[in-house]
Order: sequence, then structure tokens, then C-alpha cells
Amino acid sequence: MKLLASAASAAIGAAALAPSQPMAGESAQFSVTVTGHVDPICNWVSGGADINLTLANFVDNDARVREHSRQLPLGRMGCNQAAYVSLMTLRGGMKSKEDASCAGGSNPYCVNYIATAEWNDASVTYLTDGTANAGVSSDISTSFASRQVHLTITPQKPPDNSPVVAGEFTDTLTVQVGPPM
Amino acid sequence: MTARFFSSGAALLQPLVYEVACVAATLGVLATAAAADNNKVDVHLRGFVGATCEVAGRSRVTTPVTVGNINEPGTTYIEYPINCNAPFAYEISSRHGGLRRTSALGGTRPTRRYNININIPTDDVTINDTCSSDTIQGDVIACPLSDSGDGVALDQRARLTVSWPGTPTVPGGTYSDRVTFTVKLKH
Repeated sequence: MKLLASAASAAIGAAALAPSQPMAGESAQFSVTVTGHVDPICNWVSGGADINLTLANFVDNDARVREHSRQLPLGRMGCNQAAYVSLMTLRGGMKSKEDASCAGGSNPYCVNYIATAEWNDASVTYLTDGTANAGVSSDISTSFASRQVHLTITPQKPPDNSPVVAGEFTDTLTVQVGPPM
Repeated sequence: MTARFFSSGAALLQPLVYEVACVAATLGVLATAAAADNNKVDVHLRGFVGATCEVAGRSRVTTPVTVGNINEPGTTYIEYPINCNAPFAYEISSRHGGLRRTSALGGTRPTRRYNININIPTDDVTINDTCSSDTIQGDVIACPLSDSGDGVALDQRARLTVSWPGTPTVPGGTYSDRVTFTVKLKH
């Protein structure tokens, strides 16, 4: 800003100097255009730390998935212009075995889920299908007020409602507010 | 944040224009880096599924089976829904070691041995064992029984097939045995 002020004053100085030099019958004019822009930016106003979310009541006693939604606030996000909400899954579903395929939804070593993220009036929903590192972005919001980001996770039953194997099922879901992922 | 500073034909301004552009570009890089680190969050999802092993959806089930005339060769089977979401083993035992006459005859109780086959498909191996009834009587099971290996049996059906030869014949009467089939988690 100091440099900008110097530039502006220098420009004014230059402009002020110029008219005193033309000879009679001539004129000179200097034009200075100053342009700036501010990059879009979104920052957590509060919260925003990585979260470990353990889904309680993940299955019934007979190891069949319960489609029980879990909602949680992720923190308050502020942006300086309208923004998108995006989701990206690391593994393409919650897996208990690294090489398990979640495509089709009938693998007992994988549980697909629906994730919904909301911020202002932008909302995005994603159903995992086994595609790792896949994501989706919402339409752009119409507001950029500082608001809470909400995430909802709903595990999905396999099409045949078959049980799943014993073990720990994991995935990492990235939620972003800003440009589309 | 970036800024552009245009001029027309003013040689005096050229060094100054260059300086402003450099500062603005630097600020722009810093702002972009901050945004990349501070507008997203990773949510590490976890769900735990406990090990379970059930037959017919219950921990215990008793089913009567009538097999007809055992002086003629025959076979019959019964199936149970089985749901084990972790590797498992099973046990099978016969109360009498064969089909035993329900009432004594001349001070003894004639007994007809039979074979029993146990078939349980899993996602690893299929359990397929056959035992003579007298090898699964009591506490000491002489018949070698396999297990599911690393496999699980999700919504499968366990089939127990009983067969008997018909000879030698046994005296008339009612014969019975109780077979107990138990599945249990390996770990």
C-alpha cells in the first residue's frame, strides 16, 4: 500500500509536471489507470480442524447396515465472495479391506454412504460408488455470509441387505468451501 | 492479491510500475497458499462391526426330523440359515452315537449308526465333512472337522445330511438321536 501510494503520488507528480513543459500551441496529457483485484478466499472463522467421526450404531446385531444419518457441524466458514461446497472421498466408500471394491454396493468388505455438505444456500450430496479420489461440487452459493458448514453421513445398505464382515470400516472425506474441487 | 499499473508514454514512471507489479505478485502467491490450507477439512470416518455367528437367526434352535423306516437305506437333510461375519469353526455331536431304540429290548437298546455330512459354503472354502455317528458321540470327537479358514458365511445355508444303509436290520420300534450342531467364532 505504501508503494501504491508512492506510485500514485509519483503519477500525480508526473502529471503535474507535464503540463508545464509544452511549448505554446501544443498540449500533452498523461493518463494513469490503477487496477487492483482481490482473490477469492474462504477461511474457517471457527472450527475447521480435521475430525475423527465414529459412526455409532453402524450396523444391527446381525451385522446389517443401519441407514442411520449422522449430522455434525464442521465449523464456521467465511468467504469474500460466493463459493462452492465440494466433497471428495479418498477410498470411494468405507472399507475394511484396502482392495475391496465398493462398486455395486454388495461387497461385504465395503459400505457405501451418502454424504451431504451444506454452507449458506449451497448444498452438495454424494453417494460413494467405489471410485477413489472422486468428488463433486455444488452450484455456487448466492450468499457468502459467514455460516456453519454442516455435514451429514448416511451409510447405505447393500442392495440385498446382506450383512457385512466384522472389522473396522474407514474412509476419509474432504469437505471444501471455495472453488470447485 | 494482484495489482496492475498501466501507463502510456511516461518514461519517468517505468521503474515505479515495475516495482509495484512485483510486490503485488508476491502478495498474490501468499494469499493463494493460505486459502489452500484453510478452506477444507478432512473427516476421518470410522464404523465398527462386531463379530457375530448365528444359526437360524438365533443362538439355539431345536428341530425334530422324522426319517421313516430305517431298515431301508435312506437319506434326509435339513438346512439352517447361517450368518457368521468372521471366520468360524463348528462342532457336531450325537447324543447316542446313532439312532437308538427309545425303549429297551431284552435288556439292550439296539442302535443304528448313520453318516452325517455337514456342508457350509463360505467366501473362502466350503466346509464339507462327513462323519459316522459313532465318531461324534460324547466329549471326544473322533471325526476330523474342518473350519471356514479365512472365510465368512454371510446369509448362507448350512446343510446337514443324514444317510443310513438299511442293513443290518434292527428290531421294530422307534429310534431316535439328538444331533447338536454348534458354530462359533474362531477368535
